[in-house]
Amino acid sequence: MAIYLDNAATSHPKPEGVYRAADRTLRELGASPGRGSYQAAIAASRLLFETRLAAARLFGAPEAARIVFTASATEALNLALFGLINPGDRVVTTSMEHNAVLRPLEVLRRRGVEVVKVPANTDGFVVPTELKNACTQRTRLLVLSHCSNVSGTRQAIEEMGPWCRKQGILLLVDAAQSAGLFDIDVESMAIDLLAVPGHKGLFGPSGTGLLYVREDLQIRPLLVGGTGNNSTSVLPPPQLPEGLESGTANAPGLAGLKAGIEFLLATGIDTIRHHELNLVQRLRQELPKIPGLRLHGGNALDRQGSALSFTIAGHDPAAISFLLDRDHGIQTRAGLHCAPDAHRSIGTFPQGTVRISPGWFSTEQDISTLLAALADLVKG
Amino acid sequence: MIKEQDYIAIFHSTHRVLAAEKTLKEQAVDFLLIPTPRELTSACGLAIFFAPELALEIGSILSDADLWPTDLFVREGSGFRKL
Repeated sequence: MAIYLDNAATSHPKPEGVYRAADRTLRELGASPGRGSYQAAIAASRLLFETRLAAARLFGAPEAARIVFTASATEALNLALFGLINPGDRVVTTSMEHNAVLRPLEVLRRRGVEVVKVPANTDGFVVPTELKNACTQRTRLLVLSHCSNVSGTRQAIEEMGPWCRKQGILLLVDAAQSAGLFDIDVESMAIDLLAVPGHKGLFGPSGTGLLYVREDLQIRPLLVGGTGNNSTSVLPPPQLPEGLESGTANAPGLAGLKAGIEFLLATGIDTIRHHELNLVQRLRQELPKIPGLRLHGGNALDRQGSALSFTIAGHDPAAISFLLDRDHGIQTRAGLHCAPDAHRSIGTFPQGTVRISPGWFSTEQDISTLLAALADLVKG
Repeated sequence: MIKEQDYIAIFHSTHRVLAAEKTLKEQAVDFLLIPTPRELTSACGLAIFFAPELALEIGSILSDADLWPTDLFVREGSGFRKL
């Protein structure tokens, strides 16, 4: 059986309840949430409502109506950036961002938005003082990832959030790699907008994601169309969540997401983090013993998420990943991981790295098998 | 189904009407979630319907939960009077 170590791309496998919830919704519920008032349609609406409550609870959102469902974290980031930023605005970001942030910002830059990119150090960490210095001019928004999808480095959101709030700068956090792994409380961390994938740390099916939008923050929709209510209005209603959720909802996916969040809350984020970081710590200890292997990113485990990157001298990362898969059934990801600037920061551009990202269902044995396979591989 | 002096509470979103439903269910009061009557202009297809003797109690529960309806109607004759 294959060993899956690419949880930074999407978590796999899912908790059993996630499969069952998606299957049951698709097979037995059928109706479209928010459309119609027969019993099945109301049950579908309740399903979305309860999923929203679960997500709000997970992130400490005071009002569940401010949780907007999207198809992915990428869509959530696009919704936040295009919905908020206008020509003439100034946005500060970092070199550790994924293309889901970098590319929308490039489109906005070409429309007259000033984009300032603060470089990370070779550990992949962006020093808060440097971020603050970059925000000294009139800045509308700071957007940054909580955890890097390349090195796993965790940024100082807990410091930047309250500082930004005090300065009147909006904060958009890309929680693609941290949601479900680290505690995120939008209130105490002063996060205005939080973009979250449903299919990674929250264990939902792919095709799910969400954006939290702070109360009183009005953003433009990315999609307009039917919302199931206010049908005589020529535009979608201004209120959330409906105003930002045009089109038929992904009910089976969101049923799976609800089951995923329930699994996460029942298991405990601390328990999950402890397990995943234990595996990462073992990798950090053992991987450097392989001849020619170099770990990238920081050494401090206290700022480490559950992804890490390495290279082996004389070996193309793509070839390592290919051989791990073909000869050992170990699934990893090689290359630039849609984050070219992050590789520039940690010194691995343009060849990229091999990324290992264990998940909740990864085992000590999986790590042992990987280490043995790599030792075998470098021997040729 | 709707009798003289019965109340209809309508909300501006599906999310809010379901939040109201959840709150009222938790308080075990008697109400029904119904399709909004066609003659009431509404932003949402669902409404909360209840008897007049429960108006004070339900009003107080919704108010405490910050879920006051967008509009409140009472059945009078063949129509509805907006409160």
